[in-house]
Amino acid sequence: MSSDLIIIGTAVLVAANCASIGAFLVLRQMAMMSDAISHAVLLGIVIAVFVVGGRETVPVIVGGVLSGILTVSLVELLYRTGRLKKDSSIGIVFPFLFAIGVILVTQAGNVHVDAQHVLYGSIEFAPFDTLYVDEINIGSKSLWVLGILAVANISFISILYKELKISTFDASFAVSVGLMPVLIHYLLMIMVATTAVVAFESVGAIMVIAFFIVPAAGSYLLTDRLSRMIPLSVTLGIVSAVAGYLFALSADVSIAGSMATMAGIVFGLIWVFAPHRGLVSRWRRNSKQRFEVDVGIMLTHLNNKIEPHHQLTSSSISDALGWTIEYSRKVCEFSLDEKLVKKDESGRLLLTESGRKKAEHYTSG
Amino acid sequence: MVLEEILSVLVGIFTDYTLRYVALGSAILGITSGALGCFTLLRKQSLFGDALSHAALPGIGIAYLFAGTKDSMLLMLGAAVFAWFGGIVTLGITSTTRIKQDAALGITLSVFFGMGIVILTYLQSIGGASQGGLDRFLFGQAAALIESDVINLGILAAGCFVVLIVFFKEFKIATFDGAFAQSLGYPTKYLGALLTSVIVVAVVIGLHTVGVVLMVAMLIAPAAAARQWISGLKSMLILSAIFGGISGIVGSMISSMTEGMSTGPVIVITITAILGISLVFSPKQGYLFKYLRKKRNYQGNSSKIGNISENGRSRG
Repeated sequence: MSSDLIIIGTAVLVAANCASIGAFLVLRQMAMMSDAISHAVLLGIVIAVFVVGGRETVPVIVGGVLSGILTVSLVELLYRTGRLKKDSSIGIVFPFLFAIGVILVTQAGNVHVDAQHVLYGSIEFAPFDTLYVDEINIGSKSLWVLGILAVANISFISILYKELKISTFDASFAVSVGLMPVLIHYLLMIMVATTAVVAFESVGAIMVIAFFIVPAAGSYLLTDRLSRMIPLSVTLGIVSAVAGYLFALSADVSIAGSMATMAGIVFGLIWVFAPHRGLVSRWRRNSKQRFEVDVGIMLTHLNNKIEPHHQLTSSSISDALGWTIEYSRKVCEFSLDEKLVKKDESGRLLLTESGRKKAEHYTSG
Repeated sequence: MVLEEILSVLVGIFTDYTLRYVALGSAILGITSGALGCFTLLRKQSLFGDALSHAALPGIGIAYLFAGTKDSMLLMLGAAVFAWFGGIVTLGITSTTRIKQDAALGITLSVFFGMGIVILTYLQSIGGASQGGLDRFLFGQAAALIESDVINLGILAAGCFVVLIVFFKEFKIATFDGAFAQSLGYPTKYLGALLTSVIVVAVVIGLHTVGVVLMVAMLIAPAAAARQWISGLKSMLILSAIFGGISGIVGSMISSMTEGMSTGPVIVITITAILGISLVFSPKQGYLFKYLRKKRNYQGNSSKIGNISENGRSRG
């Protein structure tokens, strides 16, 4: 397999793994917990490397998951005492564990972990790390590990889908029907930690967070159904990963960094252009509503001022209501088209029967 | 042996040129972030600092890209602009979509950081070794501080404190009761923006010493530690600044004793240790005294219960 394909495959699998679990993190408002876990796994990885004396896959994953659980437990311990808020506890626990990890990395010469690569990974080297079974080369290690993780994540989500869904949207209902949301919470955290530590190896701490949160947040703006949000989030993650890789190749910059940037661009596009929740459609909805209200205001105005000698034209409306001439003309034209008003022979505006009804409806209700 | 080493470092603060500036720079950071962190803690915006510090990274790269110098004032200006922008993006996401604050912070910090890494690696690919000094902002390298850097940091910190002293009453009311402040006619929106700006400055100061990643701890931990001892805002600010300053000095001293050790992590571990001590030993709320009180109450109660049952029996 060519090395480009291995890198893209690794990136796609990282994106898919993180984005699927990330949907739950965004919905459960635990996005920053994934921030904490993805930093803290460093400590577990480094300790595992110390203990085993090399970067064996299984001990590294176990170490990372254990330190992820330690992070979650420490945060809850601090937060349960009532002395600190939850976000403060997160902001204290993870820098502390990460700082210990960084010191261990920089002080121990024999650990082949570079402090900066902790942050933005070394996916570039994925093709050179191959897995051997009985001394037969069976292909890229990262692809195998991430593939197994993907199977684990898919089974986790599909087996516990109902439990995850109910405990995410209505935790107290979940308790009342005996679904044990606390257990689900810890299982989810274990999956987050496992995903973080595996993905950490290839893309680094910050990019793990990008893939956990950004695609899921984007798909949250596009759909209201959890069953659609998860595949959509995975798709957005994969698109950002591939686009990021292509950009990194052409500009000769960090692959992981440009993937996170692409994820941000994809999110930005959704934020602006999303069909119902995007900025553009929000703005259009708002201005449409304002226009409708203004038509009502004009009809009410006409209804109040119906006296034979009163000259009501679009310019006198603009004076009376403080609108610009163009805007009053627009409102008048709309009302003429809708047959809410009509013009008599001298150009004055008069309410039609339906216009009068509408105006009275506004004033009475 | 260890004692001798510590002594020589202590003496070094006054005699050794480099160490003096390292300790001074770290102390300036600790004091500023300690004082301002109280507001982020009390306004329940603890992790806002995390997003701001990560968002500053592309600013450093872009400032260097356009100016071509490593002049620290210019880099800090770039960092400040981007940190501010990151804050606005976060607020924009939460105020125009249904995405909650935690996810908005996560989006800002990871995407801006990714952009920063892209720009830094781009600089590396075009400029070779000349970029070398920029990645020290990731974990902070106080050992690289020189006199002019420290003077710049001092000026920025002084600016923060002037704003803090002038607007202390306004910040206080806006923090504890925003609605009340608004009803009194305070421009709470502008006050919030001003407070964010001084926090941005504190973050920018921190980039030199603790770096982008660990900055959040410097805002939260001193304030959280001070909160365990004191409840008045003014005294909490002072104590928090003292805790921050101590951790800056102690941390930079410890890291200067070991070769190649980043300052940031050591300072963060020091301030977390201070917080841990505060959580356990603070007289009013600490675990230790709570535990002792509980035990005493329990014993007192059980002896009372014993008395009651004795009485009951004697009567029967």
